[in-house]
Amino acid sequence: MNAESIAPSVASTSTIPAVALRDVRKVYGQGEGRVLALDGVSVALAPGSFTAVMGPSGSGKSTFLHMAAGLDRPTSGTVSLGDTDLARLSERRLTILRRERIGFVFQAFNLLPSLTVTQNIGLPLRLDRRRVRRAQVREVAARVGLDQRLRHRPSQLSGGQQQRVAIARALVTRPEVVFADEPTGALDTRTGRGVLALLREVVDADGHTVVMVTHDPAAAAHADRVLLLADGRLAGTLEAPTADEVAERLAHLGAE
Amino acid sequence: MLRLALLSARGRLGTFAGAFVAVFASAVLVMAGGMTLEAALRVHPPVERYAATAAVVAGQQNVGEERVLLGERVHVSSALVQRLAAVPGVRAAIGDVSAPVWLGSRATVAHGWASAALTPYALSAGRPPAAPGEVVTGYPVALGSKLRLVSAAAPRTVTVVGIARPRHPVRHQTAIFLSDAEATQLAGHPGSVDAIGVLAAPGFDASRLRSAAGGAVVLSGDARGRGEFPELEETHTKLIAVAASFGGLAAFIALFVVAGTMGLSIQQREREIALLRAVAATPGQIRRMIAWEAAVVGLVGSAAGVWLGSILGRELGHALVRHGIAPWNFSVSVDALPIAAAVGGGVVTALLAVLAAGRRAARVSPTIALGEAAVEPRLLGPGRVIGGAVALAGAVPLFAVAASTSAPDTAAATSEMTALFLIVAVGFLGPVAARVAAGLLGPALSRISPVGGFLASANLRTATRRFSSASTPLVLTVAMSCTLLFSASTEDHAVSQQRKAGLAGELAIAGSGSGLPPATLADVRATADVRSAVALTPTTLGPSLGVSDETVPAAILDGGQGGGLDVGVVSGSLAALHGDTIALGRRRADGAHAKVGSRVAIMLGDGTRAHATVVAIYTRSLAFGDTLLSPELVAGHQTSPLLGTIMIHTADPSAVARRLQALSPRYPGLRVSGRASLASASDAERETNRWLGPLFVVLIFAFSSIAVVNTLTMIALQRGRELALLRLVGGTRGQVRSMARWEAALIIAIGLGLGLAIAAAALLPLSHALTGTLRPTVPLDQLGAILGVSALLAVLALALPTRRALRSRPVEAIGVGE
Repeated sequence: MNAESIAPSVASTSTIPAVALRDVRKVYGQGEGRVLALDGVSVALAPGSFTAVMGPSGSGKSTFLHMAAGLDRPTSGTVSLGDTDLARLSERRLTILRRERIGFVFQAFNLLPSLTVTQNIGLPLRLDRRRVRRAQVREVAARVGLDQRLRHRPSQLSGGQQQRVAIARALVTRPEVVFADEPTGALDTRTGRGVLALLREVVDADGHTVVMVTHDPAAAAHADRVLLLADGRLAGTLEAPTADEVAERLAHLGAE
Repeated sequence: MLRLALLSARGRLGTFAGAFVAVFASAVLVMAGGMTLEAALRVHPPVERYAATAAVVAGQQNVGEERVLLGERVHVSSALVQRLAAVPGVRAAIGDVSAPVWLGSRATVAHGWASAALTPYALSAGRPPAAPGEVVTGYPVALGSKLRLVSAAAPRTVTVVGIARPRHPVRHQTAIFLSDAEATQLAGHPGSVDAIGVLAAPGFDASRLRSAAGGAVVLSGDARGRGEFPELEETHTKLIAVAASFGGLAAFIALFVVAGTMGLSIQQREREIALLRAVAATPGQIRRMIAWEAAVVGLVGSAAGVWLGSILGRELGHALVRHGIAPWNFSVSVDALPIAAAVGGGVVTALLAVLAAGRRAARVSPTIALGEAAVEPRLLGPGRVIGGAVALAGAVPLFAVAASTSAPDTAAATSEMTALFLIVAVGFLGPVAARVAAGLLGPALSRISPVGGFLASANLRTATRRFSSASTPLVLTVAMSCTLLFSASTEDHAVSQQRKAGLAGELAIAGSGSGLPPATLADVRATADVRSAVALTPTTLGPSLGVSDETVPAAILDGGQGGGLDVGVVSGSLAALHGDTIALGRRRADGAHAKVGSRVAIMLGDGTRAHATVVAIYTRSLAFGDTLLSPELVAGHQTSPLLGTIMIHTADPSAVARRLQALSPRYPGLRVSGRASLASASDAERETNRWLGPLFVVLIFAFSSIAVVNTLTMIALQRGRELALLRLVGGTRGQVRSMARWEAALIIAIGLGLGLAIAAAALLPLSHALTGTLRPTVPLDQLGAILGVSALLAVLALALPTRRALRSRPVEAIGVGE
């Protein structure tokens, strides 16, 4: 399966995709140390979908996420969020776009240690100079099941709770897309499953779009669709995957 | 472990550079201070005119249990000369007297011809003085010249009958020789001599001399210089005090800066240490690793600092001589002891600091190690509580003494110590101050700046140690500079105010060099249109009048009331200051429980005990000394019988000034001046305050600003990850910068605020003791410079690393990528 055959199938959806990458290439370094991290990837993700991005180490899945989220710029090709072409934005406009329209969840929670749960969740609003309404924050905190710990600081929370705070922080601006980079990587299986169920829920119940990078087939099984990457290229997709299917395809990729 | 330490050091050059700079700068300061102190302790007055003696027998200049050094020369009885001459092994014992004189227009010192043998001076032409009116000069003059000899006794004309040349270099004085009888008469203390020089014969034994000398002191070798230049002993004592306070200050700053920086370097590496614990390094291994690191940094840094410190020390020595604070033969040289202090002190302080800081990190169990490293530890560890409590326990009683005393010296000494203790207390308890500041400023800050200010105050609340470490060097700089500089200016101002108010006469006469012959006063009084004139000659009393550990500042007032001198008499009258009488400053009178009419026991400047009747109590003792003495009371008990300054009251200053000027041919070196210039000329005596204070401040500033820049840079460099995270969640560069700026503002506000508060705690009691008001003299330009430069340093030190951190892409900085 190759990139050309995928693009039309996605483009057939009538609405504008939430995220679209067209022929994106990313080269790091120069000369001897030159690394081709992404080699012509095109993909479109529908609004309200839950997509998992998988692939062996070095396959370019993190680079894919950085490009799609506007954290980094492609060497060539275009990336758009909704109808906005990210390549045309200045660093400042890009930051503001990230703040307003994108939410992030990282493996290492990345909460500010000096802020309470409430303050961490409200931070994107505050950075956007919007009024931080307590009700709004409390609602999001309740969504992730943390409404009893609003005054705690990150150091007083367990890993799973910290990740829930990070998800709440990602959701508080009601972003068009939430990007999650190995959100369960630092959590035990049970806690991780809870976090994944939460992500599934915000897609199903609230209509958010979620893109998640993971290496765990069981995590990927929570998604609507799995994009498989290998050597910087799109190596296949799986719709409504099961953990076993994903594991099998991954093993297949590894053998190549 | 050394290998691991070196590897670890290679990977964290930033942190180590900071520690290195701190150790280096401290070594420079300790080396310079140590060299100066060592040289000050070692320096002896030179031996010149007594070069040929085997021993010099002089009076005991130190009195009492406290060994207080007397301000006037203690004479020895002439009778001792005969007794010493009779001691076996003594070829000759020669009594020496010195009288400051002018021969022609040249200021010199007259001695008896017998004392020429002590150098020895040998005649190169002519013959010895045989009768009154004959002189031999120790420098070339035409033989047979008739020259005017002005001294404390009546002026006379003498004939040069011989020229003598010293066989041993005499560089710091000139000498003329009169007949012994005439020299004794000019010196003004018949029956006693300044010192006795002993020439040795075979079988000389200093211990026999000692048993014969009775209460007098036998000086031999280099110590003989003390008999020759007793006035240098006082300079020497002051110099040791100056050098010791500089050395102490240097050691304090060094200790503070090194301990702070090394502690911070460990604090910043807790994550790394925790990681090492997680890979099964034992606490012992961790401790050994950081100890090795600290030892290497301490050794290399301080060794490098020694060289620069030796240069600074030499320059300091020259400057002290130039400003008359050190005797002219003072020289600072490199010696093993200061080097050992600088290097040893650097290494030991560094080791103790890192071990104290690393103790906790090395102890925690590996599982919670990683979790704990990311968060700040609790507000105050037990070490900080204990250290802070001890420092406060030191500061509180000192402050109480400073606040309640009315003695300026006590207030000055205790207030400075109060400041030092408070600085240490802030060093330990800084996190509490940060937390309090967060509570006070946080809400307002979040309102003013909802992003930057909010984040900065949230950080202040939780990262209290970081803010404390950052503001402590600012506290040190501001508190020390303000205390040193403004205690001097407060004192200066108080003294010059009293002086200005007290010197109400229209004219004044001062001599050049050693003073004015007493006859000048009579001639001034005899001048037409002079209403009244008095002479004021500075001296000291031995410890008495309620003082046991130092001499009492005094002045001899010749002429009672008049001359426009107004010392602020509140009871009695200076007109009665004749015979065995004394006037007391109010504070001294209170100390001695004396009133007008009381009979008080005093010790004269040369240690002689006497009684005197109090005739007046006055207020302006800062400017004119604690006691005023009648000339009759102290006659014969002074090193020099010359007068200090003559104050003149007249209705026609310009005409009188012209007439007084006409006296100058009779009194070489006489200078007539108006009142204002006299007041400012007298202020020049306060050279120590005027020059040394600012010099100390500049040095403190230079070195503590190194600490400021160092600490802040170390802290700012460490925050790359946090800044990147903020940008990942949507903070713009501007917003991150705004947070950094607000943090800088908080650090500066805390640092300057606490620094000023400490300075106020030191200065207010001093001001109260000096002037009775709570208004220390603070020149606003100096205050502005101190605060401005400190703040500027802090801004720069914080801004540059932040700018650097913002240049990289957040994803890279935070390490999210594969």
